[in-house]
Amino acid sequence: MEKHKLYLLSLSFLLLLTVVILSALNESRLEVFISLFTVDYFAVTAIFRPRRKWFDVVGASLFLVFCYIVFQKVMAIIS
Amino acid sequence: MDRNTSIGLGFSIFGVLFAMFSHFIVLDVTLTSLGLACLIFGITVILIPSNPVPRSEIIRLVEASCVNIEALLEEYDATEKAVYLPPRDGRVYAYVPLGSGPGNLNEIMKAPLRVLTRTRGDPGLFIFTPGSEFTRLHSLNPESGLEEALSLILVDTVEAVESLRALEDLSRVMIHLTNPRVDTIHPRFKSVLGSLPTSLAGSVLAAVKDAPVLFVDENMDGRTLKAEFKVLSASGEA
Repeated sequence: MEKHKLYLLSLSFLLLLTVVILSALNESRLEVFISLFTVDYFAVTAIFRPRRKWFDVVGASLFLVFCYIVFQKVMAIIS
Repeated sequence: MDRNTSIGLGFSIFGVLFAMFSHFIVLDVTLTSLGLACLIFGITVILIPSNPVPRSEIIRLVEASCVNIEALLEEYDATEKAVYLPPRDGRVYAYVPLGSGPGNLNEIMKAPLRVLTRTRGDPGLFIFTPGSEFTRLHSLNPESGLEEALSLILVDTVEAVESLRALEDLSRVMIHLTNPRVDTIHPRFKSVLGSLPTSLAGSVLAAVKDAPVLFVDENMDGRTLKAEFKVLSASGEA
């Protein structure tokens, strides 16, 4: 199978698997879902290294959101 | 808009709407995250090019393949028009006679594939044409319609021309190629095999007709390149 198709298939499978597993565990924090989506995205992207038409907007956005979540947690712990 | 963009856009729009609906109305985190997952997937699909190798690079590669053929034709001083032979192992080859006329094509088609061959004492060249691999990759055969097969290779795959029309009159086939986008600067290649779009068309024609096809002539009429071929029998007659 073509690398790009395999990449998209793996990504969709992992994202769906994350939703299924976390909902089965009764997880109700949205930041946990987003953090795991970020991990899924970067893991699959690192394995397949797909070629893109443009700058990796998804990766950058997920990374910024992930940083914000971590920052909030750190601030909560400090205060 | 290419296929990936439309699919990705569909996923993204659905993802945004579904996530907002789930977050603000249904108040369900699992469904919201499912919407976000659709959004992530959708934007990723948009960013992935539908053709991993850009079309412009395919065109450059096809154009570059003419250089060796030109050198070979120059070396053997080939001037006769080429005959595109029906596929062997799915690949179309062109036979360029070095004497006068194509000779007995039945024997030529059975001759071992070497660059320089000799049948009944007549020397000739077997050329692996730029279109050979395309006919094999798309498994073109006599059941493929002529115009559909030509469009598939020249318009959709290589984007060598904007559109085309094929006219058949007994053994003569006229192919009108509108607004050709690829060309070769090599004069010997042009006079023996035709210009690059014509050569691609010749390869497709030989595969679809499953018969030897002689390149007769080509001329540019405004934005239309008119190429003429003659479908030959195995004995070399029209």
